[in-house]
Amino acid sequence: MRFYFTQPGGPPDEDGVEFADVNSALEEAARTALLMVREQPKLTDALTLNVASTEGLVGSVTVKVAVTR
Amino acid sequence: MHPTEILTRRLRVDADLSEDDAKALKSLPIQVRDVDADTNIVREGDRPRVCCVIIKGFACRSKVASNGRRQILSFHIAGDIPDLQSLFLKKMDHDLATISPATLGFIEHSALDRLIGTNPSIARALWRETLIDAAIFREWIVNVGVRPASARMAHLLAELRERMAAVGLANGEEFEFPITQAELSEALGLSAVHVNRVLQAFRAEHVLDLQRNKVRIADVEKVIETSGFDSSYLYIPRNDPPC
Repeated sequence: MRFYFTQPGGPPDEDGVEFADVNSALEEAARTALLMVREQPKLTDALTLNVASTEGLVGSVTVKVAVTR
Repeated sequence: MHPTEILTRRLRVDADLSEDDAKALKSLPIQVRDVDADTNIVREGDRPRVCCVIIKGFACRSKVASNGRRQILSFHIAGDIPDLQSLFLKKMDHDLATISPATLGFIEHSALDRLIGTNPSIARALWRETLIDAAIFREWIVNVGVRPASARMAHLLAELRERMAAVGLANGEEFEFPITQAELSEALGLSAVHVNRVLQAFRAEHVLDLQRNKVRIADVEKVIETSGFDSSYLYIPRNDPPC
């Protein structure tokens, strides 16, 4: 199945990526969000990836790094 | 086009080969074969008796880690001899496979041995190729080790553009590169989703695009700025006026 990944306010995903099922797509989205959050100018900003199939949104993942003192 | 012509063209990019050298290259016995994408040319552990010249198409070198994940180590274009080291290092320590339909030329080690024994200019040119290959590997390590995802992607595509242009295979800022997002992720140490996000962002910002097996660089300056690309490690001579 083809899934499409977007960030709120970001560009649409015109290509998508093939995954066996929704769970695999969400897991990969979570892994990717972890990597993407590390590259943000501000590490503590939350990062969300929405995952959609051709039928619509199937889930989303959010990564937020919290620093406490 | 004679099968060795692309090799001669590639070597002449950065080496001074005479007409006699070109004739010697042309006289090499070469077995030409058309293969599909994803064809293994040589595999780790093999002991090849031939070297492979890419006449047309694309190939990559890779290794599979013990966790089953593949790391693509380099991409190869027409004119490259990606397994030249097998001439001296008899056992392959990595895999070499096509990533597109390709035309390959196979030259017996014994014929190459004779050629470099009798043509020192060609021996020097091939030696130089292996040194540049190592320089590209050094840059690859920097790319996957310390650059952010967008810079990794931009750097890889900027490098390919330079290499393709050097052998006359780029059309301005457009060149063929039939690669999947999965293969890009294996080359850049990113997930397929991350590759997808980076490409979508570049497309939205009109920086570059990779669609239908073609790369189109719309904003060269932005690509260079994003990636920090400096082509000096490719050692492609420029026709700059002397200082």
